[in-house]
Amino acid sequence: MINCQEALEKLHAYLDRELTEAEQHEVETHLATCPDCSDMFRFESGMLRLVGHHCRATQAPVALHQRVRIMVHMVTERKIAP
Amino acid sequence: MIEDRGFVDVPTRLTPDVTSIEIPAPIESSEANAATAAEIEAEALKQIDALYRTALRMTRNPQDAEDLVQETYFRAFRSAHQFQRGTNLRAWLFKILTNSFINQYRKRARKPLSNSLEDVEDFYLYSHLVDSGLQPTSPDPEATVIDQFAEAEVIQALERLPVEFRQVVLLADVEGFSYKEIAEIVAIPVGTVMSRLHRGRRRLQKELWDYATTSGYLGAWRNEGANAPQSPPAT
Repeated sequence: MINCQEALEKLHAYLDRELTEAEQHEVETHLATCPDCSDMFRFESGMLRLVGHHCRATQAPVALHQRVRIMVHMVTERKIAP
Repeated sequence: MIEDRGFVDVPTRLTPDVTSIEIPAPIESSEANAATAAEIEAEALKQIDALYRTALRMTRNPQDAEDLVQETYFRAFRSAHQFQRGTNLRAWLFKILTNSFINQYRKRARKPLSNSLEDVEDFYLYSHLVDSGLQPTSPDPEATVIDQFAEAEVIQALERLPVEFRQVVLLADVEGFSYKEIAEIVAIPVGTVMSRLHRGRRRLQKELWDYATTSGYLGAWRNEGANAPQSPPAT
């Protein structure tokens, strides 16, 4: 059973799904019994969600889609039919 | 600085992994391969929003971001013969974007990337909220104090990070790349990815906290009933 410090050291890797199954289980077991760590993990997870959510709202301009499409066709046609 | 030695001009093929797509190689002039090229093209073009938003956050300028995305696609398709079975197309495109950005950035800034970043303690925002008598989390996970930050405020905080930290945060937290993929995209060791990611995230929290204290958010959170976070649960 890992303690609070060990759990918090694994916080980022846990949230990033970079732990082994065994390590992940250790962290989850700790979180289930520790409201303080559980609260911090929830907060940090919320931070990641916040950044991801706001940044993913940006879309490429329609004109860029068109320019890239045209440019890609020009480049690939040269490759495919030299 | 040693850790930044890896940026190279020509992107190399990334090793296969879970997000790999099947791409036969090489793409040459035959009917069958023409169809394959079309498939690659369709897959690649699906990444345009992701490439653009990353470019925009890196350059902080819409015109530069558009140029960077165009250059990325140009270089990718010009060297499309490098596509091979098992190539992680998405990571490959991001690697080209990164290399193109670094080349331009270095040309313009005429200085190497720095690793300087005043370190910020762990759980910066959480601790400061608690110290201010605020409840950082809420029973409704999408109704916490931090969810009151607007899109522009989060983006502004992110754009204040030094570029090498911002880049890793974007690749992990916005684009969802694994540490290993980021290591290949940025050409740095996995350990460096982790340290930059952690430091970048902590720094982002400090930027948001600083914004909260100077913008009046903090006062509002403390004083306004409607917008205030929930009181800590009675123990």
